[in-house]
Amino acid sequence: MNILIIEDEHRIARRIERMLRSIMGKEITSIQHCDALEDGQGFIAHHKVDLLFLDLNLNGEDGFGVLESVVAEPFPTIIISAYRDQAIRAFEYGVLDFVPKPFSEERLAQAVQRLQKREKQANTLRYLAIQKKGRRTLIPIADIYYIQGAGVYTELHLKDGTTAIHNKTLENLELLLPEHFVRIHKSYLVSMQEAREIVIEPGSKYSLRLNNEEQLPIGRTRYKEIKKRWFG
Amino acid sequence: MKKLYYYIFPILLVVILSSCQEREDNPIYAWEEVMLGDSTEWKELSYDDSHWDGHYKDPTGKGIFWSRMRVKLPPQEKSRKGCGIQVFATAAYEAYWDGVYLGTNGRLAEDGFFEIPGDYQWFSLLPDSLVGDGEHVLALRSTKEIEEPGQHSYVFFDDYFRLTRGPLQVSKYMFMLAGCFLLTAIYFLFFFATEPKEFATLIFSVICFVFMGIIIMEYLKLFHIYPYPFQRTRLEIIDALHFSLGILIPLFFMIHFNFPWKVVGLAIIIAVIGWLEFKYYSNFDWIARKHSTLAWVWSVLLVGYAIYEKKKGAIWVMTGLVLCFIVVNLMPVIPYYYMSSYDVSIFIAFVIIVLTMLYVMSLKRKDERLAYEASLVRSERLKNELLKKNIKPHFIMNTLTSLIDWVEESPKEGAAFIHALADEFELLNEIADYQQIPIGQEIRLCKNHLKVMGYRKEINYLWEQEGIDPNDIIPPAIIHTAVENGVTHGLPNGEGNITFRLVYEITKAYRQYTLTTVAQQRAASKFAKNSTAGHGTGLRYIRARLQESYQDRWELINQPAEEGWQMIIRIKTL
Repeated sequence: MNILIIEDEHRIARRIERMLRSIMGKEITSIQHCDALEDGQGFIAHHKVDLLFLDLNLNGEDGFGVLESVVAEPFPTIIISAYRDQAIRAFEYGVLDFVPKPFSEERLAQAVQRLQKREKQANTLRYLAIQKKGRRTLIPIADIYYIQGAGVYTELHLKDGTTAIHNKTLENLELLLPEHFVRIHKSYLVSMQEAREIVIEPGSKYSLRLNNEEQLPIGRTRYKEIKKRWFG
Repeated sequence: MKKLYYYIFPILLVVILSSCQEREDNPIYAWEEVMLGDSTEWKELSYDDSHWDGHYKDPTGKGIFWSRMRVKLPPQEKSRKGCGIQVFATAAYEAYWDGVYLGTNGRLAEDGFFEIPGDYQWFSLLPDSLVGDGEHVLALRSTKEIEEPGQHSYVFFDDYFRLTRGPLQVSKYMFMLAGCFLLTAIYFLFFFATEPKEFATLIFSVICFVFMGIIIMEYLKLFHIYPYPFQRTRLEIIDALHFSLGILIPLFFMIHFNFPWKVVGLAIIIAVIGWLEFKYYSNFDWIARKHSTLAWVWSVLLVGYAIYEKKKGAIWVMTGLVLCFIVVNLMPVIPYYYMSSYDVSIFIAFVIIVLTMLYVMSLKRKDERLAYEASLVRSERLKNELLKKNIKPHFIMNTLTSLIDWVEESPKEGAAFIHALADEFELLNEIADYQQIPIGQEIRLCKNHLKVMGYRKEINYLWEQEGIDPNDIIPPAIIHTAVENGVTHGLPNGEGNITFRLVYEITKAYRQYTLTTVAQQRAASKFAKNSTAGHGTGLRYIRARLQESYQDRWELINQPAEEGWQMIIRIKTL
């Protein structure tokens, strides 16, 4: 696993690194530290990053602009910040965890575990940040019908009939998205608030009809659970 | 407050005008005819004086002269009893009523005697037998050795007690008014004594004193008996008072409405009324009117300017001035005794002007109070901001995180770090209550902050200073704030150093502190939403502190420099 730490205080960056090495041991392929976002961005552009630790207040700059730019990236982000009051807003933007300063090794381990165990958190995500024609846009979660996986990226199908590309994989998005987003198929993540009924087709093929009349396939292995939980 | 004026003014007007109501039987009044020379015939009622001079010719120093005043008593049913006369004349004289000797006022200059001046105002009872219906004559055999401004002698005929009491009846209202002016003047004089910067209150106080002076001098003749030469002195004093009003009233408006060309304005005013005074001196009543008129004209011009500049309360002052114009031009229509109705109207105008002045001053006071309260709030807020510096999450949480790390990794260094942090808290706490502190203390604070940040960032912060006078005082934590900015935005050099250099310079015109951060500056991030890069953080605090201590006498230059970044604080000398 390649880890990037963006933190402007050397002492703290070194502390994070030391703790991560102790928590994750051999799982770590590399740990890189940048002390400014510009450097971090440069690093991300040219290297593979699997997990990002980000300080929200870098060199006196408000961190939310920074946050928007990284949550659009494929890898999950864990915030390490002094501003506890910004946690809720950070979750709305889709971060994996928010570790308030000062932090202990236990707290950091808990955050890493969330990623390792693919634990879904009590979710407050409200936007997905996407890159559209080179510009960053925030898409409200409520505007999404479903998300289709397409290899290393995903396609968001929106209520206005348009689609948008997100750089995170379906797996990583599933981690962030609220409870009502359900993986009905290996390629589909659907907002169950928009699901109308299950359609059974000949040959034990199941599909889900959405409010916009669109029909999406339901994975054979997932059918029972979906039926029980959402249509039971 | 505004409402109060709506009531006060009409009430005052009623009080003042109540003395104006016309009586049914007014005193009878007569002017003189004058003839130089001496003859016993001239005291007789039957003497034909139709060829005498009705126009005034100054008889000063020309020996004996006579004046005759014909008093026509209208027919009435009851016979008159207890009547008398009140004579106003600038001479020493023997008085005859229908040829009967009444008495002497002063001593005439004849038979080798010097003149003893008569009183300006003289009363005499008349025999009941000599006050029948029809024409009577008061003849004065006079000498006048001391020059007096041209003034006719005149006489009032009435019930004797009414004659002697009447003037006091009139003047009591005026003295009440004078008392009001006196109290106002004293109040504002005290106000000025405690607040010497408020020059307008001093002017206002003097204006009130002058108004009081004019009233007292004007009505002095009604209650104080004085020899006729003092009449001139009295008029001179009144003239001088009007002259000073002619300057003071426009000056007040100039200062109050912050007129930009005060010196020029004042020079023009003094030149015009000085010329008037020089040219028409001894034409006392006329010149007093001209002074009042001119003061009014200047005021209208100045207040017009103030309205144009949208100054607070200017409209009300203009309304007051228009009201003065109406009163002064309308009042003379109402007949009045013992004094000219113009005099009364001018005093009403004084009241109006003083009221409008009081009103605009109260407006200004209110603004000043609000500004003062705002400044208190601002000072309190700045103090809070200073105290908050070290409990802001960014500072405290990052410091604590580093601190934990130091303690875990190297307890000895950790303890030193804790001491540095404790020192910083203590220093900030020490200075928080002051608007200004010695620069020595400020530098200690800066050095200590750098020590703390050194532990956190693991950068070697160096401090240099030049020409510092440790006792010079500046607002607290402004250099400290600039140092914080330098720490945030500076990149260490190859050796891991960032140097801060503080240089103090003093010239005749200003003193200045230059803080140079010798370090390459971080580029502002394009992702930052509220970019505070370019050393924006804390600049507002520095500006607010400078404004608090030096009003507009400061300059803040914050700019990139060859070596890194430079902040110059320049404080102009008073």
